[in-house]
Amino acid sequence: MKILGIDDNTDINELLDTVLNGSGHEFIYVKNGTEGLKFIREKKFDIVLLDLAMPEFSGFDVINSLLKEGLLTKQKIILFTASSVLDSEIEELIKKGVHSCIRKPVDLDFLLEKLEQLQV
Amino acid sequence: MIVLSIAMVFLVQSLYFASQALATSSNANNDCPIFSIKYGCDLSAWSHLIIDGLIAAFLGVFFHHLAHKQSLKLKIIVEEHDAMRKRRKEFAIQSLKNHFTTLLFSMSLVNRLEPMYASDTKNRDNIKDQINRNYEIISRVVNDIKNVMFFLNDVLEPQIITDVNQLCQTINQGYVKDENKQSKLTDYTETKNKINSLCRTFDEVHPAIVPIQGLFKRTSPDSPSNTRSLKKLIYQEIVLYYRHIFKRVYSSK
Repeated sequence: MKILGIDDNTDINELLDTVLNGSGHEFIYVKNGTEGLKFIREKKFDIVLLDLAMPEFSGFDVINSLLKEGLLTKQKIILFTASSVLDSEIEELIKKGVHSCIRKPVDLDFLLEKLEQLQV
Repeated sequence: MIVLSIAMVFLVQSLYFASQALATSSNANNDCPIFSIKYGCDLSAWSHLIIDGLIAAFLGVFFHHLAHKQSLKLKIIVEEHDAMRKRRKEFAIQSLKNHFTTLLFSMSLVNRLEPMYASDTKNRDNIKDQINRNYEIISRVVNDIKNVMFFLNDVLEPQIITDVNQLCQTINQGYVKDENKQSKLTDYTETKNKINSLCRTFDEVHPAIVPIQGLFKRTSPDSPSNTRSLKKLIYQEIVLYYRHIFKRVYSSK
């Protein structure tokens, strides 16, 4: 699977890079929303793991930009966030076209299992 | 504000000198008592009373206006402080959850690599490097968690602080060196369960009560837009307040 990670946390990005690329996936990561948006516009990914709380251009900004351009439903965007997002906010985002949400912290096994489920 | 104060002082001084001038020219006597209104009597005493009354009214309104403005400013400062506290709390929880994710990932990786280290003799050095790199990450993350606890402990509940400290202690105790001086992280499952239970406590003690979207809007309190909106808010409140007083006075008549 081609997976894009948009997260400002370098440790998480690097660990996911090691694990996902080691388990047969193609994982690319960027550290901010602007770069992530650029990648989503240019390439097609199977899954986009999007963090919400990022400086300057947050995950909400990425979602709003994709929504305006009509690209939100064309990508499988999964929120991968540590923020205390309200359930109502997640529901609202899912209605807009976001696929689902994984709340941090998660175990690596759980994340891999979830990705496998999405692959099917 | 300074200009307004100077203008007020100037006005009050002018009125004061005018009233003094009128008062000194008064000539009250038996035919013309001080507050009588008769043909041929001097009205300076009345003028004195009216002007003093006006000064008092002006000063009353002015000080009331100042007090109201100050209370509005205080209200805004308190609201800003509350908003900042919420942002700090959200940042603390978010940072801790991110650190916990890193911990879980690193520990999970170490757990996967350790059996490989034992079985794969060809890539032993490579695997050992990877394991040590993950231990470094774990050690650094534990320090980062301690820093978060140190700098943001005012916005976290004591229960959370105690639990996180215990978790750090468990992780630090989990480092065991074997006979090859290889670090070994024991009780990964225990740590994982502790992190999970800690996150449940997080959600119970610090439930999400505000929409998170608003917290991500980054505005400096000194930014021109904020100053403008602050002024606008103050003036709107003042206008509303005086309109309210005016309505009350008008309705009582």
